[in-house]
Formats: sequence, structure tokens, C-alpha cells
Amino acid sequence: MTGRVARLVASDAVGALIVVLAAVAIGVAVVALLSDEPAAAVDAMLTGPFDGRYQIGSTLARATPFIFTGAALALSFRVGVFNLGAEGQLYLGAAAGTAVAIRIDLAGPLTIVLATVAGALAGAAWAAIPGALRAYAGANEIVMTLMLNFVAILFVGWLLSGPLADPARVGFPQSESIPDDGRLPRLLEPSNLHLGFVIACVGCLVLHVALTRTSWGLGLRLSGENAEFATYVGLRPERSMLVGMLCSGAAAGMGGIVHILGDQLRLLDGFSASYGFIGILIALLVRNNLLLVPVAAVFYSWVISGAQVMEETTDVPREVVSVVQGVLFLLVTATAVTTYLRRRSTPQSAQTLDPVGAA
Amino acid sequence: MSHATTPLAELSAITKVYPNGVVALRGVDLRLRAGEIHALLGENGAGKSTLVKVLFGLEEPSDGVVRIRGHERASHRPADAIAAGIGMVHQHFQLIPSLSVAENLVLGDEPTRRGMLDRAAARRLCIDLGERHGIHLDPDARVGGLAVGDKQRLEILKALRTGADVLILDEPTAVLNPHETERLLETARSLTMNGTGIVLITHKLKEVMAIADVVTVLRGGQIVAHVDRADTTIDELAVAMVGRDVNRPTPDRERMPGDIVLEITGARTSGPGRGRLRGVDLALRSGEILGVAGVEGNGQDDLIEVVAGLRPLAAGDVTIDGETLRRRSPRERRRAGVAHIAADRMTRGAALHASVADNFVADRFSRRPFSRRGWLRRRAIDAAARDAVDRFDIRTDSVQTGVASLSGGNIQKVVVARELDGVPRVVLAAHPTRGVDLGAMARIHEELIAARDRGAAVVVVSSELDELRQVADRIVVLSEGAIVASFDEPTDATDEELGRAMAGAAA
Ligand SMILES: Nc1ncnc2c1ncn2[C@@H]1O[C@H](COP(=O)(O)OP(=O)(O)OP(=O)(O)O)[C@@H](O)[C@H]1O
Ligand SMILES: [Mg+2]
Repeated sequence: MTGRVARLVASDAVGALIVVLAAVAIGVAVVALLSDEPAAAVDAMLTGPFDGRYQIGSTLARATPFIFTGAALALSFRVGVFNLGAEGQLYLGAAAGTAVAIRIDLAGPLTIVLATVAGALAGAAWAAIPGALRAYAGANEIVMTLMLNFVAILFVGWLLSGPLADPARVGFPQSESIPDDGRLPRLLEPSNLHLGFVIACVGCLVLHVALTRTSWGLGLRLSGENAEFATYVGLRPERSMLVGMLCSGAAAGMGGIVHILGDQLRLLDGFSASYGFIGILIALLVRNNLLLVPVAAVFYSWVISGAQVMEETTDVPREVVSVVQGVLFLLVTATAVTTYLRRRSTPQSAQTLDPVGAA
Repeated sequence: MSHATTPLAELSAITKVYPNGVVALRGVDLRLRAGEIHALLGENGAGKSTLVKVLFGLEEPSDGVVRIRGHERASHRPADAIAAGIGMVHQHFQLIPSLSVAENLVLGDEPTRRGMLDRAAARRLCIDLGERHGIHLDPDARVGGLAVGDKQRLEILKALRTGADVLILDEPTAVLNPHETERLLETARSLTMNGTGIVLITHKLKEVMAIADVVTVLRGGQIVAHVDRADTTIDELAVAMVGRDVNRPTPDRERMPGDIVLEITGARTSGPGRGRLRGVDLALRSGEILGVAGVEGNGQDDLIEVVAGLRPLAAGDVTIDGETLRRRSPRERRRAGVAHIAADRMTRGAALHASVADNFVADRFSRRPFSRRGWLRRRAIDAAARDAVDRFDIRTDSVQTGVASLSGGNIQKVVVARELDGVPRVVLAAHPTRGVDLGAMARIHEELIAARDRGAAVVVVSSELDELRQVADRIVVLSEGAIVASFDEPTDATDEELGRAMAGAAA
């Protein structure tokens, strides 16, 4: 790693760390106030998620979908489009991959590869609609991607009560379970940590390298930074927007199917715990630095897991986690979004703004 | 201390270290008295803008004290500065492109009626104020579509509107033509009659000699000279700025034009206002520099943009080496050898949050030697960028630095360095020396001439008539989107002749 990359990672990391520490501190304070045995509750919340093999595995497993959606969002922000449709892309990716895994009978690993590719393609295809309209018709991708989420989620719900429904189902809309050789290997038995976590981390690394080390990536980044400049120097910012949206959708779609193949083992209606939306938070938290996305995702998972452990072992309800979430959202959006929007709406005053990283 | 001698503003021992470790100012003192015009000079990156940003409250000093009318200022916020009667025209525009001229003018302190923006009042204000200061702008025009000179004039109007008694003007004349500059300086003079104190930053020493009372020269963040204007000369100031003698090279005026490279025939564009082309014919030979004069907003932008491919032609044609460009994208035109120094470095000419190196190779990073098989070759990119930094004397601590943290003039040099690298076939240079210091200006002129000598056809648009006379082999005047005068000998193009043509009278 060159000194420059190290510095960049460091400055993004410091910014994220401050936000994280503030949010956790407030969470701890709330817990301490609510609990009759504050020391035990705080301890459960903070150390519980890493207490032993099983807890560590669960925490990392829980982080996996957030890595995918965090990467999807970070990527889209870097190329200057707002993909708020990761949730829908995730659902469609999961559905397409599941269909492949249960319908096509292939030898083990090949099923996994094919299903994952199908998931990525479905996510990309769903993102292509707002991507193309944004790039070539100037439509507002924020509204479009948000609306398409509903369509995707309802469509998957319909699939699960029709074409993809489990013939043996007992009422709840769900698919058949994934055949054994279509499942991603588990890593830390008995926890549900699976190979998807590694795939996600490697994926972030690959995307990071592609963005920073290849001419393809530089073109995307320059287009995302200033489309007028990009056109002027002979780049094609419209194409970059579309490509960025496709890649972002693919990452989200892949996140969906990997979650099914590794964790849920069957497609369920409404299976996502807002993965697509939490991805926004994660991307903003690390200022779209792909190398830090896995770290932020694990942090987020730590918070939720901590709340769960706390609820199981002490008198504090897990809802405390929403306090931490709320604080995180506030802190992150207050800093990141305002900077982004100001840059977007008044490029002419860019000089007076903090260059990213100097805040 | 009697009231009369209390300075309007006093900066004492100001030191400013930017978060990235750049020390922009070291122990600088500045005192502004009522009714005084205080010129602030220095090379690009000397710290001028930083100093006035400290005064205005945009940048917090790392050390030192700011006193306004004798009172030490505790807070460093522009809002407090404005409340304390300080107005500022920034080096780079602070306008909202999607709003109209009148709306931008009143932004921050809008006249209202029943809680709503009173548009009629805003328009009236725009017209009245413009009348008073000789700055005529269409109140309803969308700011995004204005030429840079008009944006600059709007900024000045905005600052005048506040009625501030400390007025900071950071390079207000960089894109104004001589006539507009004169008007602005007159306005400044008359304001000082009422006791306004003005800090004027400029690279044009003539203006300083014409109007300033005192002059402070910065170099490398320190004061190197502080004199009364009456006791100094242009040459002395130039030496103080650079730290050595500046000999302006007289460029080689030998003309060896070759074949016609760029040909524009019957070019028309559509759009509102005076800025659209109404039938322009031009032929430019290899090894020739064409100077384009004219009041800002009379078709210069469109002329450049129809060649660069950034604006469609409504009628007519543009060819390079006999081949039409009509259906060619900006990308293909660049491939065909069109280089373009954009008029606005902040919105178009540079990617502010990308590094100097990435900006430098932005139009060619996907080709050798900067990439191989899709992989960027950082070493080649950085080496080329460092060469450019040396060649144009760009003041930056490294080529990895984000362009946003360079001084205005140094950003300009990044843009010019990128565009004049290699062997362009056609060079479109819009205000190529906007905001650069004397040394850099000479450098850029040399490089433009060198590009010409390598066989390029060069178009230079400038509001500086001296500049046009100095580099151009031929000058045309644009007025209301048409060529109204043409001078085959630039020396024939006197200020008067040009002024007459620019005003619209056929020459
Ligand atoms: N936001 C920033 N972050 C870091 N360094 C900065 C920033 N702004 C300016 N600098 C550095 O501070 C120094 C002084 O810059 P400043 O803008 O004050 O120069 P200037 O005298 O106004 O030059 P110019 O004539 O080109 O406008 C330069 O070296 C510049 O690179
Ligand atoms: Mg400056």
C-alpha cells in the first residue's frame, strides 16, 4: 500500500471512527440509564458479539449482506449516481439466483457459480432501468430507484406465492430450500458464518483496485466527480453513470443471492432486514471508501448483535439498538449528505467547501 | 486612540496552516484605513486569497488577531463579517447557476412581500444598482448561462449591494475588458469618497498604479514589501513579487502559416441573448494564432464550444483539415487534435476533488504510456504531471494534492498545462491567463506560441487587449455573434479601433 492510499484510508477511518464512537457512547449511556444492572448490560452489548466462536461467527455472518449493499452504494456514489434501489435489486438477485439453484440441476460448485451470476445479472438488470433513464434522459434516479424497490419486493412476493412457491409450504410464502450442493460452505461451525463473507470482502478489494488502479476506474471516478468536466475532456459521463449503476445493482443482487445460498437457504418473503437501506448508511459512514466498507458493516452488525445478546441476557430490550441506529443516521447524514448536496447543487462554490477528507 | 486613526480593519501577525500542512501565511500584518484602496499583490499561491478569507471569516487563522474598527473579533464566520460591514467578491464565483441574475443578487437578504420573494423588487434593485454602477445585466437571465465576464460583474454588484464599508475584491478584473475595468475602478474610487476601505487583489500592475493608495506584496506567505503607491513603480513591484528581475520575453513574431486547418462556415447557434452566433466564417491556418476580442457574452463562448463539440450548430459547418466535425462528439474531436482551455476552470476545466496528476492526464489516461492493458501506470502519470508542474511552475506540495487546495492561478496553470501538452492540431484558448501572475502569463504566452510553432491553429479569446496584441497573428472582433472587424496586423488593432468595433459600430 502506498503512503497516499494509507493516508486516505486513515483520514476516512478517523472520520468514521468519531461518528461511531459518538453513537456507541450514546447507546451505552441509554443502556446504563435503563438497566437495573448497567454494568452487565453494557458488557453484554459491547463484548457479547465477540464472545466466543459462535458469537464471532454470527456477527460476521450478519455483516455479510451489509458489505454487499454498502459496496453497492459506495460504488454508485463514487460515480455520481444515487442508487437507492439496492433493496429491490437485492430481492430480485435473490429470486433469480434461487430460481437457478432449485430449478437447474448441476454439479455442486457450478450451481453456486451460476446462481450467483444470475443474482448479479438480475440486480444489474433492475438497476439498468433507472440507470439508463438517469444517464440518457436526465431523469431523477433517486425517486426512480426508490419507487422500483416496491415493485421488486411485491414482485418477489408474488413469485413466492406462485411460480417459486414451495409445493410443501405451510402458509408462509417461501421457496423450496436450496439443495445441499447449492449451499455456500460454512466456515465457523456451529455459527452460520459462510463463504459469502469472504466473497464480500474480496469483492470490495477487487472493486477498490478496479476503481483506483485501472483506467476504467479513473474514467468512472472523474465522471462521477464532475460530469461537465468529463464531457469536456472527452470522457462519456452518461456511459459511466449507467455502468456505475449496473455494477452497483450487480453487487446488491449478488448480496441477495449470497445471503440465500449461505444463510437463509431458501427464499423468504420480506427476508431483507433493510439491507439495501443500511447500505446507504455504511457507504456514507466510510465516505465511499470500499476498503473500509467491510469494517463498517461488521461494526453495524456488532451493534445489532450486541443488542440481541443484551436482550437475551439482561433486562434491557433490544430496541435500544434503534437509538444507536438513529444517532448514527443523524450524525452520518448531517455530515455526508449536506456536503454532497451542496457540491451537487452549487458546483460554483466548490472552492469554499472542504475538500473531501479535510473536514 | 482617536476615531479617525483607528483602522477599519487590522490583521496582526496572521499565520495560517491549512489542514494538509501547507503554511499559507506566516505572521502577516495588514491594516486598512477608511477611504483607502489597499492593493494586495503576489505570485500565484503567495497567500493573497487566504489572507482576505481570514479577514472575511471564511478561514480561521492558526495564529494572530483580526480587529474590525479596533475591536478584536472572536468569531470567524462570514455571517458576522457581513454584519460587521465587510463585503467580499470572491476569486471564484459563489453564484447559484439555476437561479436568475436578480435572484442571485438578492440571495441571503431577499426583499419579500407577504413572506414570499418579491421578484419585482429584486428586478428593480438589479436594474437600479446596475444603473448606478454602470453594470448592466439582464435581471431575468439564468446565471448558469452567463458568460464568465457577466458572472463576474454580477458578483461585484452583489458586493456593492451590501453597502459594506470594508470591501474585499479578490481579482475582480481577471475577466473584465479594459472598459469594464475602468468602470469598476471608478466605482471603487467613488466608494472610497464615502469612507469605504477597499482591499484589491489583482495581477494587473497598471490597475494598481492607477488606483491604489498603498501596496502590500506577499511572497511565500510573508510580506516582502509595503509601500505607498506614490513611492513605487511597476518594475519595482514586479521585482518584489517575484524576488528577481522579470524580463518579459518578446515572443518571436515570425509567421509561417501553413495550410488551412480549422474552417468555420456560416456558423449559427440557437439560444437566448447576444451570445449566439449569427453566421460566422473563419479560416485558420496551421501555425497561426487568431485573437478574438469582444465584450464578454457576444458569442465567444459559442464560437469555442461549437468547435469543441460542446454546443450544437444550428446551421453552418466546422471542419478540421477539410473533414466536417458536425457529427463528432467532444471525445472524437479531442482525438482529432482539438485542445481546449476552458473559460471556467472551477466548473468545467478541472475536477476539483481529483489530484493534480489525475487532472493532468484526464483526457489521455487510457492511452500509452499512462495505461497498459487497462492498468494505470502511476509512475508514468506522476512523472508526466511532475514535468508539467515544473514547466508551468505550478505551486503544489505534490502531484497527488487535490486541485481544490491549489490557489486560483495554480489551478489555471493545471488546465493550461494539460491542454498545451503534446501536439494539438487546434488550440481553443478561452481566457488562458485568467488569474495568473506575470511570470505565469509570460510562460503561457510562450507555450501558446510554441504550440503554434508546432503547427497548431490557435484561437485565443481574451478580454485583455494587450494579451491579444502580444500573442495573436491576427485579431477579429465579435459583436452580437458576428465578426464585425478583422485586423491582419495586430498592431493596427489599437484600443480605440477595437473599442469602436466592440461597441458594435462596423470598423
Ligand atoms: N483549502 C486549501 N487547503 C490547502 N491548501 C490551500 C488551500 N487553499 C489554498 N491553499 C494553499 O495556500 C497557498 C496560498 O493560496 P492562496 O489561494 O491564498 O494564493 P493566492 O495568493 O490567492 O494565489 P492566486 O493568485 O493564484 O489566487 C497555496 O500554496 C495553496 O496551495
Ligand atoms: Mg487567490
